Amino acid sequence: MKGKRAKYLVAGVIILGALAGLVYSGMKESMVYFYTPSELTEKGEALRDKALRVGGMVEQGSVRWDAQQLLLTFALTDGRSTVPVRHRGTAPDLFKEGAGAVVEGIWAPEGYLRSSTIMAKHSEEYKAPKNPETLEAKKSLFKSLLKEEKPKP
Amino acid sequence: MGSWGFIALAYGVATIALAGYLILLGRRLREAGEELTALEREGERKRR
Amino acid sequence: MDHPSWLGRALGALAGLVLFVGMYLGLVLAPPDAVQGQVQRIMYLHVPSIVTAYLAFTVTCVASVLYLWKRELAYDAVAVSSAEIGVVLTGITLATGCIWGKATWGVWWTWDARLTLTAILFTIYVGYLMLRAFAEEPQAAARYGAVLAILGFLDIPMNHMAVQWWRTLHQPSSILRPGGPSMDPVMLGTLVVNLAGLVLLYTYLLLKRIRLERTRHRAVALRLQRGRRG
Repeated sequence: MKGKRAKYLVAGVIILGALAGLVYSGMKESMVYFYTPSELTEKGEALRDKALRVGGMVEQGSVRWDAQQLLLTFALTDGRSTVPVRHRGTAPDLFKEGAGAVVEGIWAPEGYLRSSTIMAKHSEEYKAPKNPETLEAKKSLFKSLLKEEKPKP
Repeated sequence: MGSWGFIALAYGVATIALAGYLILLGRRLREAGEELTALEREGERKRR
Repeated sequence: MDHPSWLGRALGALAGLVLFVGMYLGLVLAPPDAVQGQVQRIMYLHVPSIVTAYLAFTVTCVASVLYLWKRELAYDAVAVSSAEIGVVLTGITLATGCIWGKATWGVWWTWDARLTLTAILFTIYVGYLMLRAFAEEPQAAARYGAVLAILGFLDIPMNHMAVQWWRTLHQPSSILRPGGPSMDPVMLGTLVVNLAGLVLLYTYLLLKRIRLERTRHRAVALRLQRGRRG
């Protein structure tokens, strides 16, 4: 009786392992959480007017803040292609040029991503700041740059 | 909410969850113990 | 299997002490992160919680296999006790993760592979506890529970690899990764102390929860005995 049960157990484990393998290979193909700018450019027309996510680095020198319209524009890049993004409202604190971001929105026919949500992506590296004062100074500088152009109540 | 606000919220949630579980576990243990004692006493009475 | 009560109390006190030291290290002594600033300190709760939850579900899985093999309720008592604590710890992981996510990513939640698989893990073991509550007979509860617990365990290796296999908003592993840990040594030490504290607390809670299960088993057995007699 015990031997039989063990056999069933082994068979069960093998079947489950195979299932997990199938699920894995299936999901690997289909589970695209975000597109890269290159993929979006390549697939271009097929994804027009679709709600999707695009992930990449915020291109250096691309961030503009229009205080009148509360419009944030920037470009996401993966080094090969670049996608322009337009976002109404502000971005998370960690959002900055040269950092990673994932943007949710609609790939508009005009050739830009109409963003509804900006998510800042951070790396798996954890380091102490070299000099905390400089870091804080940099942060407040960045914030004041953005704030400067915001409408005053 | 500032950084420390988020940190306080996270530590608060974790502390309440763990302390709450610990207290509830103590209560369940006491109740189960009382129930078992009552059953045992009842059994003894019947045997006599 | 019954342990003297002083051992349990000593374990509880040690867990409390290590967690307190861990909290001091995490909130005071460890430096803030160069990119994320102070809010990165939430990591000292978030990571130990999920690692200890993985440990708890591993214990449940092993105990479930042993139960199916030997059919002794003592193994099932370990399985269900460990799963319950695992659910609490996964809940803490999800809650602290949402808070950390809001502070750094800018959103409380997003459906990437890591977050989705963690939510599934939580659901599987909440389902496990519910299934057991609905089953009338202890042996039936143990049998169905064991199968679900073993199936559900598959979520853990998948979730660990998720950040390697798929594109996610969640960052990849900082410690178990090719090329060694990518973390400041003081931060890593703080993380290890916090993990040790939580594993100690888990052990303390597990012993207590197993005692509850055995007390219940004894009561059920007494009642059955009485039913047969009278």
